[in-house]
Amino acid sequence: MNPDPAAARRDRVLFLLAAACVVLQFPGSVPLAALSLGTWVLALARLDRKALQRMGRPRFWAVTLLLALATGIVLGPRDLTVLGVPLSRQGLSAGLLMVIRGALIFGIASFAGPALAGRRMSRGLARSGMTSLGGAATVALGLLPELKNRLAGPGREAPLGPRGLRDRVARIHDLAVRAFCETIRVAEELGNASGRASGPRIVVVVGDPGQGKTGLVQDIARRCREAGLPVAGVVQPAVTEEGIRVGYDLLDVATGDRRPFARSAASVAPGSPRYTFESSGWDWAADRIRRGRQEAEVVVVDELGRLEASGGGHLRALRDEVDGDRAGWWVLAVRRDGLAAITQWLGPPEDRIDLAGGVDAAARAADRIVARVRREIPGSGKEEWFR
Amino acid sequence: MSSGPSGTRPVSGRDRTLGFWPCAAAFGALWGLSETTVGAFLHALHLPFTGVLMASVGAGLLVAQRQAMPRRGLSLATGIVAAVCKSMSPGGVILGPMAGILAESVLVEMALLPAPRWLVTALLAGALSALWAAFQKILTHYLLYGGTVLELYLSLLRQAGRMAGIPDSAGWPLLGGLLLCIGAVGALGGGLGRRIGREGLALLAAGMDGRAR
Repeated sequence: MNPDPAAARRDRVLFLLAAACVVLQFPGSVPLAALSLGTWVLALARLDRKALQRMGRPRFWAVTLLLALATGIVLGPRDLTVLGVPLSRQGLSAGLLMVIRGALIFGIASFAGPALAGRRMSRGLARSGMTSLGGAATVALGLLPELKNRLAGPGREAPLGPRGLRDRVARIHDLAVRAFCETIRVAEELGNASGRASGPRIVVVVGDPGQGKTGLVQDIARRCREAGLPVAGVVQPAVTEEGIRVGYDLLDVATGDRRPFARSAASVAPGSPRYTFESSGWDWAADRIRRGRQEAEVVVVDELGRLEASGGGHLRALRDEVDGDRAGWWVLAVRRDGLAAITQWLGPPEDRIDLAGGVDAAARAADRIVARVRREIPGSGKEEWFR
Repeated sequence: MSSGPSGTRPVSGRDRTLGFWPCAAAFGALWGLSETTVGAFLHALHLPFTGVLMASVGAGLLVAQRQAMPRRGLSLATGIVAAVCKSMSPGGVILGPMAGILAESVLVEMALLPAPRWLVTALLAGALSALWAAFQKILTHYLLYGGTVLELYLSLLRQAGRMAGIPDSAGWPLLGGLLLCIGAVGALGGGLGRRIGREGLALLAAGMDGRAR
């Protein structure tokens, strides 16, 4: 679940090299420009073959070569004849520079586009201080399939029979109005979570991988249970072999049921997920979350991260269950890089424990939260529930 | 009634209760979706002026959004969100379309700044957005190939004009006419966006948007 450090290192090297190659273009000399292009192509061949493949777009090369040829014919004095066509040496030289420069910029864009794309970009926004914007972008990425389904949903089918231009225009207009209404509705649903004044109260335990979120959430669950409060939900304890983390299990905190969930992928290509998930595990966890919502006062859910930030993973179950009128406490372990988006999906937390403040500060915050939950939920006499 | 973009306090717009970031996320997703589906399809067909058409659609969407929530900065935020969504588009070359989306959102934001719900600003927003799409093509070629390509284009235009018997003095009016047509297409998009936004809000207010409430 960590970003691939090798891929991140590779991207840094390529970005630095791209900057150097662009600088080499400034003098406008053909040998220097050719050197920079050659260096870039070699670097891509060694470090990012997919980007190199993306450079092979026939349309780009056709347009570039046509422009270069046109430059040789149109610009400068015609002092050269090739196959009976009068050409300009000056124009051809300028055209050659255009081809090299175009190829280099296109090659850099072929690498930089995907390297910056999607979730990386929204994370970058969040890291550069634009947390809400990064969160909104991540939420939007998660909304894409949902919005697509809604816009293609019932009532959008075209009526049968021949239609004239006027009918077609009217239909497109009607579709646009419906798309607008549906989008407003989606925005309202998100806004309802953000602006929720009462109902479920969310406590987030924020930290990076390995900082102890799962342990703290389990500790809070145990202490709430000892105080006589019904506690339910799922945590994801790490599975280690010879001291190395090889995956995660799912653990039902109410019953103690445990099942395998995620295991290290056999081979990890750069940019691909480090773990393979057992798909039925999501349903199992969703069922535990739903039951917890119905039966318990405190529901814990562990390991909410990038997947949930983009609308997947445990978030589907959480969106269904958190957004209800039954007041209750939700203790959610959230990875730092997913916090902004998850907050936008589920609404602002009532309280938060940040593990960056150290173990002692986290323990004190946990004391405060347990005391508050005990104070605000009249939970005495319910000890039998979880046994 | 309104609060700053960083706040999550609901803001009233035409009797709808929306938040700034939820609105940016939802409309950014819609714009991104239209760019990655309709836009990608039209580009694949290599139809001329696809960029102008998609810019008009984008401007219309932003104008419609501002009918529901006339908050400053919303078009810009939506544009950034849409650009991130567009970056998920299959195919490697995405920086150009992303830069286009960002520039269009900046222009729409500037046009709608004085009066987000007026027809005049809606038309201006659409026209600016479409004109940018036309200009971006030239700018992209300048960035890719350098200043030589502009010299080449001007030289080719002059030669084509001479061959067609068009006097040099008629070049600027022809260019102006073409830009006027592009601006008109964009303005139409902006105007339609305003109308769609208003109709949609009326339907939502009346509970007649085709969904059980």
